[in-house]
This record gives sequence, structure tokens and C-alpha cells, in this order.
Amino acid sequence: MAAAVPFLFPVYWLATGIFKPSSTLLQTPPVWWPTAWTLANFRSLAGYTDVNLGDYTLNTLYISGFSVVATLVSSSLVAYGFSRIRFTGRNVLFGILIATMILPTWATLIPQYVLFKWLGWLGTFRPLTWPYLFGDPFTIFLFRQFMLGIPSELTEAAKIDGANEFTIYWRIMLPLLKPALTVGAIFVFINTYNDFFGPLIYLTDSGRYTLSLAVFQFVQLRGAPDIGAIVAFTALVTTPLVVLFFFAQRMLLAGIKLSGLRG
Amino acid sequence: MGTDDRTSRRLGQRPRRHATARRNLRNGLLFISPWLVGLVVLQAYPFFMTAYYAFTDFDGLNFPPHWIGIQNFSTLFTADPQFWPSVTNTLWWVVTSVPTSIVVGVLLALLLNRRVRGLGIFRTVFYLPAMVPFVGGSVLFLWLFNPAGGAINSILGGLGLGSPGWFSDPSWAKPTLLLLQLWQVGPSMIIFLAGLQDIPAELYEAASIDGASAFRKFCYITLPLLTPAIFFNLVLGTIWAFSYFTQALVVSAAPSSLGGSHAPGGPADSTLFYSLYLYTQIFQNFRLGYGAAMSLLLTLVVIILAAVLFRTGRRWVFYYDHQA
Repeated sequence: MAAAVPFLFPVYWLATGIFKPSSTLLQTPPVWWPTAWTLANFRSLAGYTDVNLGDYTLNTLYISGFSVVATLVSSSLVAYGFSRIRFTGRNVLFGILIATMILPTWATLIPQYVLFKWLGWLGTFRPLTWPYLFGDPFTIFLFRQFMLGIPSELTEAAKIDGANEFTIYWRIMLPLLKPALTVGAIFVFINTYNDFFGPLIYLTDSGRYTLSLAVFQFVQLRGAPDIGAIVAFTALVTTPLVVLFFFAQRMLLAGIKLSGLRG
Repeated sequence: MGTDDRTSRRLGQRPRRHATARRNLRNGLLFISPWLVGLVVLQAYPFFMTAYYAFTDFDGLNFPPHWIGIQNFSTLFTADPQFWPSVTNTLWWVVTSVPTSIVVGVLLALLLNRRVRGLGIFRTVFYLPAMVPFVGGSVLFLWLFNPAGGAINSILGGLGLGSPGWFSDPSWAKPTLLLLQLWQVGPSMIIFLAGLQDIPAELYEAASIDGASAFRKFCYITLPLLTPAIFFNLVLGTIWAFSYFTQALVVSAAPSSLGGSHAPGGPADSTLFYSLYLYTQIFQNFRLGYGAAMSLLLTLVVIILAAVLFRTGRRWVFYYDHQA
């Protein structure tokens, strides 16, 4: 029970801090509970003309949304090939897919950066979104595990009736895959929403910043004198994922279990 | 599919079997083609180019870059005053953060695996911090651990304890990042919890009948059956630890008024992890060839380490066969 305190305290501190006057946020002794509730921190954050909260939110949602849709389409197709079609070299290729999950980002980063620069993509969202069109190895793995668990009787009948593989994928497999699609969507959303490194190196124009990158720049520029706005900004960035967690808790935990250890 | 093949062989219809195999190959490759294209364009080709750039003085602008042999590597090993600190910082991080995350993750999972009231609430409490985005968590910790007026030092002061400078003190910066890391231990905890819930209750019942103590049950049932989860977290945790970046950059680049040190990797290079140093070489100094050499080294280390872990893992990872 006592173990919960260190885990909960920072969350509590953020959740109450946003309602305390800025001047009391770095005060000794601390204000444990806001006595004069105020929204001044949010007003002060909104008061910065160089901070475009709406743009940051839309940019982040665009990148995450695009990535989620692209991943679901591409990864489910690839997973179908890896789980339902028996072809020469399949196991070797799947081994390579697993191996790429171990490679650090740095292994390919510089040439990718040069490639995106050559394509004129620096400063656009494309380096952050288009790679998902090629499937995400973890999501492919997740979908493949799920598809392997679907009995072949369900698709054999369709095959005998002359349905081709794509029809079976589209008409039979995708609807059955819905729980896994949801889990995959949640994982990709969390990862892309949370991503900091990608936006840091690929986004140049502050109008295109994502929320994480914008908070970082704001903190770097302002520091303690603007602690009220910093705390409000931090809470703003954090809230969507925490809300998502509460709505998708069961599926998220089930997904971790599904993706886990049983081969 | 297997039955199909056998039937055709019995009937001597070889051509049809070949046709099926060819059609499957075509369809299979077609379905996995998005990934195959990505593998070539975004993985294989860039990986070989990284290996090539590592031996050049590539600056990102002049093509083709100059071939300079092993000069990048010799500079790294003998003439770069920041390379070895970044290596030792990273090794410190791997050696401390990976085992502590596993131990804390296992302890919390054991705590949550008991049938206590309000289990769902506790699970939420321990998982919630992991849902805080990395940048958000880093800023939150900058505020909490601020040497001037942060809540943590106020609490410690109230208890009559010392008030370290946390992120602004070279000897405290890494341990403070470790606290942040352990605060977000949720995902590995959940994997341990899944592993624990997978252990058949009969095993514990049988052990109880034999009069085994709780400690012996833990050592001879829980721990062995948890080794797959430990292995999973060990491999992924180690790989990620070698690329540890975001939190270190956010807290070190923050202004000193917030308890940061206003320099990536600061104070005094104490949080200059390998990836952070690599980042500054590429994106601040535009030494892409040099960065490629560092990337190649990191990649080789990670590959070798993964291979070693998988090899030794065979000796201590225990898979319980549910069918047996």
C-alpha cells in the first residue's frame, strides 16, 4: 500500500499544481492542496503569442492518426502473408522481421535522414508518417500471432468456393481481427503521440511542432519564471494519454498479454 | 494445406503441386510486399550506407564523401575527450536501470498478483505513470526535484534530510534519471503480472501439500516460471537502455532556473549518454561520417549483446509446457 505513494505523488502534484497560483509552485514550504483554485496558469500559457496550442494539437493528431491508419492497413496485409499463406522463404523472412526489432534507430538513421532530405521532406510530416505505410514490425508480429489463432476451417470454405486470398483477407480475416486492430491502434497511437526524437530531428518550422516538441522548446526558452505555464503545458500534453488509458485500460493490458511471451 | 500436397503426390499430379507452390509464393510475397519494400528502402540500404559513411568524413552536403579509412574510429578511441565519458555513462545506465527495473517490476507484480481488494485501482496507480509522455514526465520531474523550492527537497528538508541538487549536480543527475525510469516501470510490471497469472495454481497447491514454505515456493515455482518474462524484459530493456535519449536531453537542456544545466548531457557531461552525444555530433556539429561510425559501433554492440543474451538464455529460461 505504501508502495503506491511514490508512484501516485507526482501525478497528484501535477493534477493539483495546475490549479495553484504560479508564485506558489516553487515555494518552501510547499502548498499541499490548492487553497485558492485558479485557472491563471492556463490563461498565462494561452497568452504567449508564439505558442499555438491548437496547431500543436492538430499536428500531433495528424501524425498519430495517419500513422495508426497506415499501420493497421499495411501491417494486417503483411501479417496475413506471414500467417495464412505457406510460401518458400517465409520463415527466413519472418526471422529477419524479428531481427529488425532489435536494431537500434541509429543503425539506419543517418542515411534515412539524407534520403528524406534528398526527397525534400525535411520540415514536413512525411518522415514521421510515411514509413508506417511499410508496416510496423511489432504490430505485424501482434497481428500474426492473432491470425495464427484463427482456425483454418473459417477460411478453407471460402477458398473452396473460389475466393482469392485478398477477398479472404478483406471479408473474413479483417472483421475477425478487430480486437487486435484496436490494440494495435492504441499502441501505435501512444508511441507516435509520445515520440520526441522524430519530431526533434525532422520538424524545423515551429508552426509544425508536435506537443512534446513544443513543450521541450517552451521549457528551454522560459524556465522557472514561467513555471505556471510550464506546469499547465505539461498537464496538457499528458492528459490525452492518461484519458486514453482510462478508456482503453482493459484492452491495453490484454494487448500486452497477447503480445507477450507465448510463441 | 499439408493434406492437399499429400493427395496430389499420391495421384502423381506434380505439376499442380508446383503450380500451388508458385501461386502461394506469388501471393505471399504480394501480401508482405509493403514490409519487403520498407525492409530494402528503410532498413537494408540505409544500414549498408551507415557502414559506408562510417569510413568517410561525410558532412551531409558533399557527395560523394571522402573515404578516410578508420580515422573516425581512431579519433573516437584515442582523441575524443567526450567519447569515453558517454560510453561509461551509458554502461552505468545499462547496468543500473535494467536490473532495478526488473526487480521493481517483479516486486510490484507480486504485490498485485495477490487477491487484495481494489486490485484494479492499484494496477492503475502503478501503470498510470507509464502513460505520461517522456517529455511530460521529464518536465514534471524537473519541477518536483528542483533544488530551489521543489516538492521533494521540501519533504526531505522537513524530515531533516539533505537537499541534493538532483539534475543540477553531476553526482546526482544519473540517479535522478533512474528514479524517473523506475517511476515509469509499468509496462514491464504488466508483463511480469501476465507471467505470474500464467502459472498454474495446481503447482502451488501441490507444493503446499508437500509442506513447502512461501520462500521455497517462490524459489522453485514462481521464479523459474517467471524466467520467460524476465528474459523478455532483459533483452528489450538492455536494447532500449543503449539508446536512452529523450529524458536525458530534456532534463539536461532545461535552464538552470528549473534545475537543469542548460547543456545537452550536462551537468559536467554526467548525463552525456552515448545516444545523446551521437545526436549532438550529427545534428549540432553535422559530423555525419563521425556519427555513422558511432552508430555502427552501437549497432554492433547491441547485436552482439542480443546474441549473447539469447545464447545464455537457453540455459536459464524455463518454458513450462501447459500441455504436459
